[in-house]
Amino acid sequence: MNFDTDYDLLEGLRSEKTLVRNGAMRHLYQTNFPNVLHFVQNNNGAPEDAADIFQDAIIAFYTQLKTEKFTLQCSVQTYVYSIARNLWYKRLRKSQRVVSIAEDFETVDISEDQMKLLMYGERSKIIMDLMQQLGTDCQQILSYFYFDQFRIAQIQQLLGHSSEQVTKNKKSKCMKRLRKIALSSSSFKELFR
Amino acid sequence: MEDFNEQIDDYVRGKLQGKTRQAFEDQLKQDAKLAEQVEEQKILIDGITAFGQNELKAHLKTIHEDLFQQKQPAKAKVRRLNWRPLAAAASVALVAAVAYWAFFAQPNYEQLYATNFEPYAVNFNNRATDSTEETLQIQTFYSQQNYTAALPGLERLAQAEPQRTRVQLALAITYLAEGQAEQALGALNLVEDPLLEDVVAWYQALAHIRLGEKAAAKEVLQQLASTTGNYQAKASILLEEL
Repeated sequence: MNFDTDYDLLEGLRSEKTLVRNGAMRHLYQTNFPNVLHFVQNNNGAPEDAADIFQDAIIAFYTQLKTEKFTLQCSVQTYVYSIARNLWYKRLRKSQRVVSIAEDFETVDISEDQMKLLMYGERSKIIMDLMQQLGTDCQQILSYFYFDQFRIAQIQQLLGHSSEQVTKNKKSKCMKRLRKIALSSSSFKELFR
Repeated sequence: MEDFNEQIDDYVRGKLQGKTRQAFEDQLKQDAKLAEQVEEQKILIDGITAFGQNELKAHLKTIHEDLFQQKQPAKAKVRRLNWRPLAAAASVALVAAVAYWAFFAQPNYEQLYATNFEPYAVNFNNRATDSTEETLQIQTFYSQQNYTAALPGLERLAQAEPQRTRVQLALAITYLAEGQAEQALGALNLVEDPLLEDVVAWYQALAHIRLGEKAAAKEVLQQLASTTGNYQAKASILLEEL
């Protein structure tokens, strides 16, 4: 498959077929990283910083692509670059380094809500740690359903289950198990104080 | 109670609409216990999202290494493999065969191909409009693995309608079975169906092996081995054999 147009690229990223999605992800990475690298290096950052915030930008973009009926008002390139730029800007401000940004590429405005899609908060970290207590099959099915937002029929195919009902039951069972683990954890209960 | 939990889940994921949503929200205002359950579910889902994001980050790091740092990406990938019991069970026979070759022989492409080639069920006779006697006959030949008999008919069907991906796939597998690996690759290139992507990749790899094209086979298998799916375990075993 080729992902030269934004349409094909978005379709690829939305695909439940891992091979297709990985191909699209790779293409997205290859074609967009150089600009971000250029930008970060021109603004007080090292190549490792560029890789780190670029990866976060892709994660935010992917999460957004999945969470809502999302329509892009500009090119994928401009969008991902703009998220990365914002992330870098934030990091610079946090570390109280330079605040004037040197620009070379086109950008669009990215709202605060969009930046909140990155679940790096304490709350999420607690659950993420609890997830480690689940088996990989449960981790996978929950992640497919809630993070990748695949439909039950798609997950059934991906995991080779005999029917949609099997997948549905398995998903409910896994969610129950996670809830049980969470409710018996003191750090989870702390969240409700 | 079960349905009730499903409704909480649907609500948190924004899947409740119109009146159902309104009714749920009205209840939410009066029911503190329900409100707490909703809050719990939100936190759980955010946590699962965080988990998924973390996995994606790890994946992006390997892409980065692959593309922008030369650090033997192939080995790193194989180590990260996520073995699933089903796939592993399905390939027990394959493991035995491969172990045999590892012990007694250097990789011999033709034999490696022969050990790994297996029929693949394709139903291309699924359109009411052209379920003719002839298509039915071809389908039967193909299903019975009578490839020599199926080949001429499949070629005709494929030529008449090159965009029929399942016909192309059946044709490619038939070519392969008949020892015409180059033609098989040609037909596989025409299968543009995301649902068939890993099947196509698997048979592409076999065709390359049949032709003794080790590097090309490896490239396809590496991608397949790093991808969760029915062919992941098989691909990584074959990869190690190469």
